[in-house]
Amino acid sequence: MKGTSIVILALVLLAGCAHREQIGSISDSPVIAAGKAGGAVLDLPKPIDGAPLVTNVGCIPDEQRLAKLGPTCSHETENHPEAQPPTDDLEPGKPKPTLQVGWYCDERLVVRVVWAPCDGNGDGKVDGVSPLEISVATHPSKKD
Amino acid sequence: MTFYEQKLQAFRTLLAARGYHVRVANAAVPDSLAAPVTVGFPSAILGEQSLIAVPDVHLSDGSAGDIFMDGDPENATRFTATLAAINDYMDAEGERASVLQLGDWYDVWRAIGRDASQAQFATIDNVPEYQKLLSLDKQLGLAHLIGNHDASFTHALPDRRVADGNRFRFGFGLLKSNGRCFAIHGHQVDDIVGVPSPPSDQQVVWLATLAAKYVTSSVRDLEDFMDKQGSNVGAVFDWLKALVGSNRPDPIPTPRARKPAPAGFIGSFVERESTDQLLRIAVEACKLRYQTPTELELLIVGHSHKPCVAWAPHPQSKRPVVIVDAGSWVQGAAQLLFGAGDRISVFDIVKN
Repeated sequence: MKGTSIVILALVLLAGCAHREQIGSISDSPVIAAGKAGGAVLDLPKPIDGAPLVTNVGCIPDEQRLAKLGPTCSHETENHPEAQPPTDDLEPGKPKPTLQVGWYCDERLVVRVVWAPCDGNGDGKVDGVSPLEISVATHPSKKD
Repeated sequence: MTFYEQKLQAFRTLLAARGYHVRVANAAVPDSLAAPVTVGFPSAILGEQSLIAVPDVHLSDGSAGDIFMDGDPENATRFTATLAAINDYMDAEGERASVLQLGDWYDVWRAIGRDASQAQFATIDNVPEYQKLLSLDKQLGLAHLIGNHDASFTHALPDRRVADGNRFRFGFGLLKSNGRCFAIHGHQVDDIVGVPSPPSDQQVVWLATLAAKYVTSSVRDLEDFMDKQGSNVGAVFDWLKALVGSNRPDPIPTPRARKPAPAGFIGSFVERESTDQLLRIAVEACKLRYQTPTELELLIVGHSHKPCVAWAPHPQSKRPVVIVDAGSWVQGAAQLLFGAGDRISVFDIVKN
């Protein structure tokens, strides 16, 4: 999409950037790709695949994330206690699906991904996730 | 067929399709006779609704010390199937059903050796065998009581549930009953019983009221909560801090003595430890939560890991309040509370 700012982030890049003389690569790994037009997890994309990029929202079953993207890491608190609502009764039924996050860390890079709910297996029920927002901290002052 | 039987049959069918069935659990009693964990109420305590409660799960890092996994991947498979059946049931029933988990969902203490001060749940979140069940937890939007082993949830929530702060509480009112039905994890009495020098009845009430205030408070940070109490209560702060965040192991219950059923109720009742103190906290919590609460009649708890049905007189009216302990999913146990209409039971989940 013309004029659209697109960002591609490869989790494997974490390893590539963390050690000197390693060559960063995204074509040998599943890659989180997200832009204004949507987001997806792409399997082994060429770097240039980021150009036309994602025009549709891609959805993967939630339980496949660990196998595709590797483990998440512990991280600083992001839901501060004061942000929590007051005590109330348990609402019957299932609540509306909400966002979730995943944090991926290496020595210098920390990537925070916000995942939106979606239908991962096409059965009409929300059971998958699609990348919605990505934040990267590069910590330039940290040594490799 | 009663309303309870209809709803249970619907759940049985969904669970059977996933390879499991339910069998009424038995309470541990000193004699060799059965003590099925099921109670019939004189009236439809749950109305035209059903209630499912998942007791203590204690998800940890999947290692040998993980008392949920217990060295056998079947436990994760069985629990995943159960959550999937609950998810199907909730899809079918909509707002005619409620489901909650009774605390100690994560065993943070066993996973990282202490309570977490940040979002330090990665060792639990990354266990391969837990991916499907954690996904189902999210799909269900499962409500969780906060227990003593996951009191870290007052500091941070798991990544999948980060936007679901209103589904993690120390206490939940159930079925929009205005305080008639309530649920707490059940550890809150340990320290009321265990404070130095056995407290007087007046002190127990005071401590229960303080605990109930914290249970119902929108302020999760304990220091902020105590500041808002407007007094420097020293040792009481330490007591409350231990209550919500300590690393105490769960109690190891011995068989519970039988107790006659109150008039009008049907079931094998036992003497559960600390019922009077639990009721005091729940009653005080309901007073704080509701302007004019309906009298407490039912309290759902976990924590002891051993299912049972007990009762104790209401602190004020002396009418019987039924306490159902839903058991656990640890060390090979696989239990689930199911109630509808005028009956509540705790079941073992058994492979077909």
